[in-house]
Amino acid sequence: MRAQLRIETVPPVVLDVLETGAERAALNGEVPSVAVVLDNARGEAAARLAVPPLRARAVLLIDDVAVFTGSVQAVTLADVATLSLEG
Amino acid sequence: MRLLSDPLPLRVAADLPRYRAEAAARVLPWVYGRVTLSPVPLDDAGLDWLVADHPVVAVEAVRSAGKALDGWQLVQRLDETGRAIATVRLTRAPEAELAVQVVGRRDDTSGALLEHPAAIAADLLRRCGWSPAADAFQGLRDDFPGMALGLVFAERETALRAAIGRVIEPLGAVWFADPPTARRRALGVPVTTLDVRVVDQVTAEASAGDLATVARSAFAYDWAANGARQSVTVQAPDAVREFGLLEVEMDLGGVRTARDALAIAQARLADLARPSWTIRATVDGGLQVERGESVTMAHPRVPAGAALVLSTARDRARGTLELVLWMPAGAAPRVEMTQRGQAVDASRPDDSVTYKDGVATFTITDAGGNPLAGAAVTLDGQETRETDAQGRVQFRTERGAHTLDVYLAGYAPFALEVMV
Repeated sequence: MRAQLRIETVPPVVLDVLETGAERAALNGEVPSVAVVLDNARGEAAARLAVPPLRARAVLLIDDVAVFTGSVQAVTLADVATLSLEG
Repeated sequence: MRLLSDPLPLRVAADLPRYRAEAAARVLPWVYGRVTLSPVPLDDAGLDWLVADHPVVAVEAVRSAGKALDGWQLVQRLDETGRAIATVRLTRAPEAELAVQVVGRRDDTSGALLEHPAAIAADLLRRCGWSPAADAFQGLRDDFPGMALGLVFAERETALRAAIGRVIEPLGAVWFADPPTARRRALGVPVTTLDVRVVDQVTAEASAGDLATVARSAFAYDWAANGARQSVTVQAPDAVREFGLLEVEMDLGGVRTARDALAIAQARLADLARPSWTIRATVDGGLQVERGESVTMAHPRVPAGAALVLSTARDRARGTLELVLWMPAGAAPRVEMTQRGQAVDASRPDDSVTYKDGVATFTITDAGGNPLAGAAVTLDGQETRETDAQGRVQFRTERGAHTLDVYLAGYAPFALEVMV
């Protein structure tokens, strides 16, 4: 299984995903969300996300199939990079 | 000496030997700069009113129901407890609520009016038992030369920290009290580099919730009317296209002029309309970095560039220093004014609205009070007329609340909320 995150900036950015969190959804209109974790061991994510793509549309792809579409609400950089997407 | 978390030593009317019973809980205000406020009644006859719990430079006008009164006198005296107070004595009791235009506290040494934010903040410290140096908060004088605020402190539980924050933070400045230091929140020359040799742990966070692309700033607060009398709206057009319309309210109540309010709103929105990182770093305790200084981030886990130190926490037991830093990402966006608004009350005779026989006459002026001739004025979005050489324009209309949209070449369009 290959997971990727495509961020619809100009030009688009495609990043390999280490892991994804649970896709959260609830009744009464709560916004579905998911956390996407990227490798940042050598600072690859920090370099590519130096200007964080906040509010940009992003698509989570599993084996090239879109499984979640949302906008980037937050970016956290540490040993890994975590992007919070909201649908 | 009071702590930053202690409340200002404000008195209430009940602390005086003589006061009107229903005003017992009213706080006796501290007044800085030029303000309009509601005075505190001291007697049942309605003739003696306290305007400030300290001497003031002047009282410029006294109004009742919007009409200027003639029979009044500023009396600066010692109250029965031996404290100097400023009162207004009327020749007859007012028929409606009073509003007093006050020029507030002066410097004890120089006698100058305390209206610059640095002077006001230093005086607040002084009133709380601190001994700030003559150049306290000097950075504000450098970054905001000529700035004049009008502020009233009349809430009993206002902590000293919150009071100084009310003076400094709306300007988009950062500060600390010991020693009294403040300056515009902006990157400076980096004092050191944070790289893998000195950084133990580091994280960076950016959130869409921190973004704003449009700012509406209310200023020229009127403490008697309990509302701001003017507003200015600024927008970062490129950021609006990228992030959408994200509105934020900026309370610049103490700022008195449109020029100052616009400059502050533009600078603050330029920071809000681009993403920024909050970086938390644990570094070698031997590093000498102070809050307010800038550093260069050069650690691979977080973006590289200049960052401003917002706070420090030195852990002597572990020999570490924890830093919180702010790093803007990308270039500062262009910010432009989109609208000016002004609250106008026709019941105030010296204001710019009169009403007779069903016809309202409005006088349109710029921020300096100069009439705007040839301006296109639209009443309630329906009827448009042009101002004459004296800036006057007339509409036949009903009494009540109306909106005037004003357009004139060379000025940003602005709206007036008027009561006729």
